[in-house]
Amino acid sequence: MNKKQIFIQSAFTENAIWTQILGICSALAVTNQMKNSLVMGLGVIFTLALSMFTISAIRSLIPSRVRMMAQTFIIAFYVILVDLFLKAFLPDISQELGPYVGLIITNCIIMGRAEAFATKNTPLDSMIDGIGAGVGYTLVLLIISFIREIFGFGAIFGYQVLGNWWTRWSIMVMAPSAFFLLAMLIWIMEIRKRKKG
Amino acid sequence: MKEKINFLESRLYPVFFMVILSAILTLILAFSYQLSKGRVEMYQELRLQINLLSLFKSEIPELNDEVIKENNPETMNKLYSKYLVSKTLENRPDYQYFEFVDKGNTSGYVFPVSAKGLWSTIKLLVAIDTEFDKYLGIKIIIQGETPGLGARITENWFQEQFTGKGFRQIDGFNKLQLIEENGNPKADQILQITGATVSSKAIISGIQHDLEILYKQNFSSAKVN
Amino acid sequence: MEINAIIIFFAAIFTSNILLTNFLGMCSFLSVSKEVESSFGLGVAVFFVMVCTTAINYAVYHLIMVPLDIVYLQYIIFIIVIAAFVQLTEMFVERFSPVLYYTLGIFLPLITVNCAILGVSLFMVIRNYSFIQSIAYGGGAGLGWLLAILSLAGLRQKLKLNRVPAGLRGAGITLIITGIMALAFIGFSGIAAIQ
Repeated sequence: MNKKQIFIQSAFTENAIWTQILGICSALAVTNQMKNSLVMGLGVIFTLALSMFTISAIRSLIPSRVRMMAQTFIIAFYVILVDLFLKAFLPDISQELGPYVGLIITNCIIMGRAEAFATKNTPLDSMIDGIGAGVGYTLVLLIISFIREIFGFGAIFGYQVLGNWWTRWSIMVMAPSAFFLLAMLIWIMEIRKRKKG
Repeated sequence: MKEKINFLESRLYPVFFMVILSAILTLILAFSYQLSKGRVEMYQELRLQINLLSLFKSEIPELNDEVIKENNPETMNKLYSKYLVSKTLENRPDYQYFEFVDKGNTSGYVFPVSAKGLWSTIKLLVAIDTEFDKYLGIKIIIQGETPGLGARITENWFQEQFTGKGFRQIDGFNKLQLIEENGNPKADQILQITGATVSSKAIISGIQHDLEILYKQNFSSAKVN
Repeated sequence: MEINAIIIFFAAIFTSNILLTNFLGMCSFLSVSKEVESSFGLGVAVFFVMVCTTAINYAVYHLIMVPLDIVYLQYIIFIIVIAAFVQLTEMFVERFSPVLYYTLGIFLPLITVNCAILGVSLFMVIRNYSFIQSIAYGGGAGLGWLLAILSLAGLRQKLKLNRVPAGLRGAGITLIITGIMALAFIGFSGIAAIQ
């Protein structure tokens, strides 16, 4: 498979969220505003890309007995780097994201891709796969948060788009809406999949 | 070649590998942490200065919303040095509070208060005049209450309610009461956040409690009455 | 002035349910909730691990990390503690109670990657809880998770007899049910008014 195919596959055809229902934990929590989703998404892309690269690069050195531990360690390493970066340069967002940055480590997507792909492919391919998965993930987050922010706050990325005449839908600000919206998204993607054959 | 294969398959290798991996990664992290530490502290200092200065926005001509938005450490530091003095209490040297000084006169105090909210310790700053008669304002700095409910205590209208409310009276202390968000508040009443009674109450009780103690222990002797 | 630990306990179960409000623990939640029995098993295991690891992590945080100024490593250290604890528990249960092992023990590996366990420890740190509060929070969160997964399993059991649109089967309808449950649980916020 060439690089482009790898990317398309991990970002869309085998998108972690809507095809495999993985990694929703931290996903739903940050979708209340688009800027949170974007930052979270970028953090995941960064972590995924570099973790995949690193794990793939040393895959021949990792003893099978400690494979899970080593992978977790490497993933945690990059997550902490992201966390330190956020605390130093984007402290307001860091505070809003709270513990969810740290929870990227337990995000099933990263561990899943590492096991499935990074242990068996070259570093560059793995990195592209990681970027693809991260982009696919970010896309889902942005879609959900777009709807939640527009209807819940009347804003996009913090800029007021709808004026005061718009009554804010509180449900969009609260947790349940994320569940419903994600269900809708999965439904739509399932229908598309069935139509294609 | 044979020796290398033997080592990689030995029982010692996994341990060796994990130790080396942990050491390398932890070292890089420690280094990154030291690098970022300075920035984080500088940022916290800046936040504190902005929060303190905003409490007295109406008294500081150089301060308006644009200046605040700029987030410039130098400007803020200059204003801070000009208007605020950091002090500690005699009986509690680890408690830092602030005096607001305008043209040589101390016209207000700012006390950090920790209120026990529903989910978290809410940290806020309370500004009060030197006689402890009236609140000059409050500013919530850190809270971890329920988003959409208790977290709404950070909304401007809620915090601005406190400005001008009375605190110390001749026969004791004014206890603020909470009423519903749609009500018409009287002089000693505060509109609560709908659905967030605990968080709203926490703010009022926390402020009340801490200010009363501060007054009785540290500031009542300075009263001329 | 202390927040009553009891209030934290009840709030963690109802008004701020770790799963329905904070979205943690979803992965295993969605896959295991097909059967009521296994849901109960997993829920109990999660409860147990949550309470214990919260307590241990509290000690590790306050006695080791803060004095040594290595708080930035908390993610790694907490996960190691959780993984080690789960491993030890598994070995312990397998050795001393094969019965218990076959009912609950098989879920233990699933728990190590359960975001809720790590999440509870992280929240405890962020909210600066005391030891009692941490235990109350860990216990409440565990019970809340158990309650959520049990309810969902029961509902899905009933759902087997109904027709669900093709695109929604499986994950879709589960998420919708969870969303409705989350809505319902918001109704509990009146409870927190007890003071």
